[in-house]
Amino acid sequence: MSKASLRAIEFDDIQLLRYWRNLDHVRNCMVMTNYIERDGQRKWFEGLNRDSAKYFIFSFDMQDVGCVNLTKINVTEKTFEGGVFCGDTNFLNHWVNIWACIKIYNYAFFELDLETSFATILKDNTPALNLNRSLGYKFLEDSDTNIGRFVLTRNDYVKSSEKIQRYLRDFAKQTL
Amino acid sequence: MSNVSFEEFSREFAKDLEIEDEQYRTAKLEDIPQYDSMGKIIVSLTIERLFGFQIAYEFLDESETLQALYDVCCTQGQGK
Repeated sequence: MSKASLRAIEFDDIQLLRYWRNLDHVRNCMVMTNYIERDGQRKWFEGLNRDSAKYFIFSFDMQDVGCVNLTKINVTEKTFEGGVFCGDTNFLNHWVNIWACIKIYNYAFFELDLETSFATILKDNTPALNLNRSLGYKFLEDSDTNIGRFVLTRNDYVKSSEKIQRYLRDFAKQTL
Repeated sequence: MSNVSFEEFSREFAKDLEIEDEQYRTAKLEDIPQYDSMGKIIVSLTIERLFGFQIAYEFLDESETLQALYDVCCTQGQGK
């Protein structure tokens, strides 16, 4: 049976992350589209505050596919931002991307006990808009002409993701 | 023969994926922006609701058009 897995990033992973992040299909969906240099990536990793930001690589049958992350974690306000990108274009429309998102949102809401998520998305990033709508995000405000801000409460997430979680558990046979 | 017509299937497909134009009926599935990784999971749930079985992910991936996917559903659904 095919198996999805998730691991926290380590130093050995950061150049793979950089390679993915600099690919056009990833970079062009980001609010910040700058090219990331090798040394800049190393400095970013060394300066990473692991209490407020957590990055994971997700894999499918031992093959690294992409990255999911929780950033701007605020345990006082109980808020965070979630992010995902698929590095390997062979997996762009695969359920493993959704599995990875559900996995970290469950982690954020039920293990870290956070309550609200915010997302900043380019208005022409259709996959991210589809994903976030399905997870239960609601439009909050325009932060620019091309950028929207969205909000997701834990209750909305539980309600919206129920069937998706059932699909991943019962049908794709993955643990969540 | 399935009780679910192609008309009904395509209508529910569009509703669940929130597709507004009519091109999707004849377009290649891979060209429908909403039919991405999340879209395929949503469509598998649509199929489960309409046909009463869970479709294998490979069929969602390999069917080229909505009609081809409908045909798979009719064939698979008969054995359930």
